[in-house]
Amino acid sequence: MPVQAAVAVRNLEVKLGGKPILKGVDMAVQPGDLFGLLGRNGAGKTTAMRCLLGYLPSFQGSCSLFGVSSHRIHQVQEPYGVALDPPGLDDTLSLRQNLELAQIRGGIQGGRSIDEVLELVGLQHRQHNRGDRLSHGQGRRAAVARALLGNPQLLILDEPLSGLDPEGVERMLQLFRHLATEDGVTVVLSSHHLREVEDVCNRVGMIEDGRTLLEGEVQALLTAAGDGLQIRARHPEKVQQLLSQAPGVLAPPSCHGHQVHVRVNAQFDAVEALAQLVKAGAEVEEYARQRASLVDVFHLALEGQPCAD
Amino acid sequence: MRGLKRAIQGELYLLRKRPAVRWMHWGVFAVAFLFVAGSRLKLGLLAAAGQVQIGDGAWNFWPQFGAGTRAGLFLAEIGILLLLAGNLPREVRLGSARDPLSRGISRSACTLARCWVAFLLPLTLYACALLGAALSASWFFDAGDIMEGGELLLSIEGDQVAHHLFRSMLHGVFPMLALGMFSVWMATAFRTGVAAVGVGLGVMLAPSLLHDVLGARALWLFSDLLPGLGPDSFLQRTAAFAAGFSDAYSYEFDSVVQLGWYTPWPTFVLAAVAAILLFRKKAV
Repeated sequence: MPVQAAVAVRNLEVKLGGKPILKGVDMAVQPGDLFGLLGRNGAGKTTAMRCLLGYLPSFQGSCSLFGVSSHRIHQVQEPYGVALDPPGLDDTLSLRQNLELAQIRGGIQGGRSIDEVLELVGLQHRQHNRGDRLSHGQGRRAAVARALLGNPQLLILDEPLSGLDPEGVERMLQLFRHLATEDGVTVVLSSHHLREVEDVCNRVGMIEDGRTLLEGEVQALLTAAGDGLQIRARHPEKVQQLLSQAPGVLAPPSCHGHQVHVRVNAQFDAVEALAQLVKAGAEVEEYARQRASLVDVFHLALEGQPCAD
Repeated sequence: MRGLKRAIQGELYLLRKRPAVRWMHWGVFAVAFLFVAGSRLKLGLLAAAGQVQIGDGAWNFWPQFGAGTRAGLFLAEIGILLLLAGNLPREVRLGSARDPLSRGISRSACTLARCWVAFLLPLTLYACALLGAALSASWFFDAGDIMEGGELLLSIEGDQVAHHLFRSMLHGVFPMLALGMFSVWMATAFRTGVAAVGVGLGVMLAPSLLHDVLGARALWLFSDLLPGLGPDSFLQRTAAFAAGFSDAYSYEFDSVVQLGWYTPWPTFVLAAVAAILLFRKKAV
């Protein structure tokens, strides 16, 4: 029997004020996944999350949480936590009161207590601050704390790292990793922090201009993107000529001045290639092979080059 | 309806914890109290100038209790509109309106919980106005019969002054409940608090501004009978009647009063239904 997807979005289309915002978003998140939703500002990540959570009732396509349509989101039996942008704190109440209110509304009795979630996000010392007295980053952490109350099986987090200092980013990433690996919580997070997402997420989806650009396992996407080879030589034209015929090169080399860049796959023999370049008299000054990152995957996907699995 | 009980518990928590709600209750109490105290000060000055006689007419618990309550309700009615119509658009802007929807509470349950508050808040504010006016009036005035030049003008028992006054106070509850529900409707209908409160205020003031145009139809606008702001406020008439203005509460007005027991209810029901339907499709 197939496992029920925690999150399933199919061909999601949304118009706001007559303007198409989403033009075909697909996303499938399995239980236990730590899924990163990536995309530029205004790409449609937050809108997709709002549809998924039933906050935007008018959309085309289908969205479901644990098999329940977003139109009937209140019927979802599995507990889940949400932290969107804006954080949604009542600015007339203290942080602790906001969390108490969430507990009352959710009928939460067991699981993580208010003190525990405040400690997890490092906001114990701010618990009596009013919502509007928290900084941007603290507001984000407070929203995550509220999402963690009880025993959520799924967390949906919109830009949870935005506005955090490096220490806060690291703390959050550790928390998400721990939740996913130790507690089996499914996490869906949107972010611009591609390097951090690459570190913690096992799957990612990229949205661009309201459409899903690619979706897949992080490792598979990185492998498909190949490595980057940076070469600085006195005769770059010789490097270009030689590498364009070498086995394992994924795309024609690009040249900027004396700098040549080329994407290569695992079959590419860097030592052999270097020997060939020396022999051809290219006068190589720098020669570096770099593993592809999600940033490369993102740029390649934007350029329309194949890297999806 | 899934989550209704939890939604109501959440709304009650907000009622208890929001400073604005607390301050509004204190404000209504203070206005009612101070209005009567100010009235005592004014009567004292007039008596010192020889323009009124101590113990005459308005120098009595009953008219002051009525007038003080009305003064407190004036603020209460504005407060109901501000708190109920202004809050939801603000919560949508802040994102806090989303939280109950992520906690297994249906949209209809959310709105019904708001409607429950719209029922409760006017009653608690009304109680504050009554308490403030009653305390102040009993402190500064005696509750005997209404006198004029040392002679009996109105008997509290015989002329049923207290009865009319209490009836007018009960009469004012229903338009205020309709106002509460109407405010929830406005909150769901508009995206900004300014628009919701602005349109609500327009409807509240329409009977005063358009009384001649509306004529008898004004009675079907709940705001016509609001005890504080309404031009056909029963409380205003009976407070004046208790002060010795025997023509303030005429038998002709009795028919208006009779109709007033029924006219706020269509607005109450219509507003509740409209609010539920509108919030079902509202983007939050």
